[in-house]
Amino acid sequence: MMDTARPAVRIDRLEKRYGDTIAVADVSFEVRPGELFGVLGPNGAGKTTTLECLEGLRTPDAGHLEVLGVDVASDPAAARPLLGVQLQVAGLPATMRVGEAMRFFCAYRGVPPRDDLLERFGLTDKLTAAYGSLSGGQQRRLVLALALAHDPQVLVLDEPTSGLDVPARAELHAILRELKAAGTTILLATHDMAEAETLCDRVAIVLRGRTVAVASPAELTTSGHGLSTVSVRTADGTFIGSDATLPGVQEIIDDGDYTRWLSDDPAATVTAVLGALERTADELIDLRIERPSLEERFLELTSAGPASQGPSRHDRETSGPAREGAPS
Amino acid sequence: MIQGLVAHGAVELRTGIRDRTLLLMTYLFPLGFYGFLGAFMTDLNPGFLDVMIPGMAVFAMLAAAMFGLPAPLITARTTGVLRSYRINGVPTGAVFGVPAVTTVVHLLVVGAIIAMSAPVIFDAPPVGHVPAFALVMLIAAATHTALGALIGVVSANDRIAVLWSQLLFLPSVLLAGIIVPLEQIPELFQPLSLLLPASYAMEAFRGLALGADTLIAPWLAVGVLVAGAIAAFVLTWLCYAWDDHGAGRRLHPAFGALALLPYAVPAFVVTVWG
Repeated sequence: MMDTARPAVRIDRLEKRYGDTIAVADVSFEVRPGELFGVLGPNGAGKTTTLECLEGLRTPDAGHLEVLGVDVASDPAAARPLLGVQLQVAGLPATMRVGEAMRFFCAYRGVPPRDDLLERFGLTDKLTAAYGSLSGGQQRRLVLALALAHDPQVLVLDEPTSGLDVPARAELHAILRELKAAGTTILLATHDMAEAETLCDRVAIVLRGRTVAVASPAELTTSGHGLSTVSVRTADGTFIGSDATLPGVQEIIDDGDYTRWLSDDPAATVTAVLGALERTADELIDLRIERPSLEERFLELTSAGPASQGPSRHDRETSGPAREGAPS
Repeated sequence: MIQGLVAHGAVELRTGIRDRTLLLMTYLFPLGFYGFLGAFMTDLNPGFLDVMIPGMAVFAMLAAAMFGLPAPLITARTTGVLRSYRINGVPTGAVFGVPAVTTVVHLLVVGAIIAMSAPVIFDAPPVGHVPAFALVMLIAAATHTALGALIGVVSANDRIAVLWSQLLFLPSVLLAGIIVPLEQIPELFQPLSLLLPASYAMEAFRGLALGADTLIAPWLAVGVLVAGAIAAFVLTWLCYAWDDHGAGRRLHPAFGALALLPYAVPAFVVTVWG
């Protein structure tokens, strides 16, 4: 039974250098038990290095890493069985067969082979197929099955859908949702904003080796300077060509049958639109509210630059306790 | 751990047969060369028959260890297989140790095929002392596979590995007594011959398994091979890295050259003091 009071993963002020290159300058976040947590950042932001330090593949230069209360640095042997890992760059020998791979790694883990996982991930009919002959999606599923073979409490996935086609990506997303529903804590590094927005409960944004924000995707998207779009289509076209001032509206766009308002206060704008419709007795056909996407918020943060700007007020508020006092 | 090593060994043995390159270098190339030399060399040089069985066994070791072992290790490192192994708890020593052991097993099979077929097909003198032949086969195969593993670990890529392998392979074929007995090699080249593990393997085979007179005391040759195997395995372990950035490496790859020390010492002693 997982202790829900204790973070599943805790990374505190992690630093890692490769010679003169600073890969990770100050990364801190906590992952709650049962959470699907995303680590977002552009290429070279330090996501993989952070995960590799957690996995015991790299030795941090400073900072503290814990998995379910176990210190990764001082007790790697105890931490390793708690983690299931899918690496960004990893593979199996091309001639190794699917069934062999499962027996091979389970033997080293000291657990019986998990043919049930191969079945669950749709690999039963590939038992005698060589790893090199599998499609990219099948290879990822196999590696994921191997990572889960010893029933780890925390699953660490580094860019698991990178390079996959749309169906394979959707399949993998479905598997991750299943795992989360079964109570597995998942730490997912990705640079795919849509994937993070769809899958993750919370995300940490890492830029140039520093955590600049930790929050849910919804909190992040509402916290930036991006404008929401309120789109309306009515039977009589009341708003077409109108330049009526509505609360929160920064810009009006006529788009065929639709009128779109870019608003910094979409709730107030919608209320005003509905009031106007009631007064004119026009009939509402369609109303849409689109918030800024995580990608837009991410680009906003990226263009701000952590080194020059530091985390925003909201970022500091939404970051975990480990972020307190982080250099700006 | 034992369970893992057994499963690892079983997979390596099977993939050794499945992998065309390994199959070629472990079985097809040495046995083909053995058949070719048996058919033509015996007419050109009848003395070749006296060294045919150990010579072809050592040739098989060189082919399998120098060209069959390093490439899969390098590929495993560059394609992330070693990362997968590390993250899934495969011990460092097993990563190169298990393929080396399975290569030795394949080589014992090849050695047995040569030892049993050469007297029948080519009228070569049979092995006089089978246990000694098996012992030297085991030790010499271990020595050569350890060197093959070391080449795989210290080489940045396939091309560099082939270069190192050729540096051992070609002089060994020409100067280690595989085709011509060591004492018939021109004296000028004998110090170079004594830098090659294959020379000690040939002397041990000839002295202990065939009862022939040798340039080096056969048990001394066995001792040098054992020391060479230990040095190569220890250096492989120290120079091993599980990715292309040298992660996990304890010793700079240049130190791999120390694996030749066990051969350099007797070569120096014999050259200086005769």
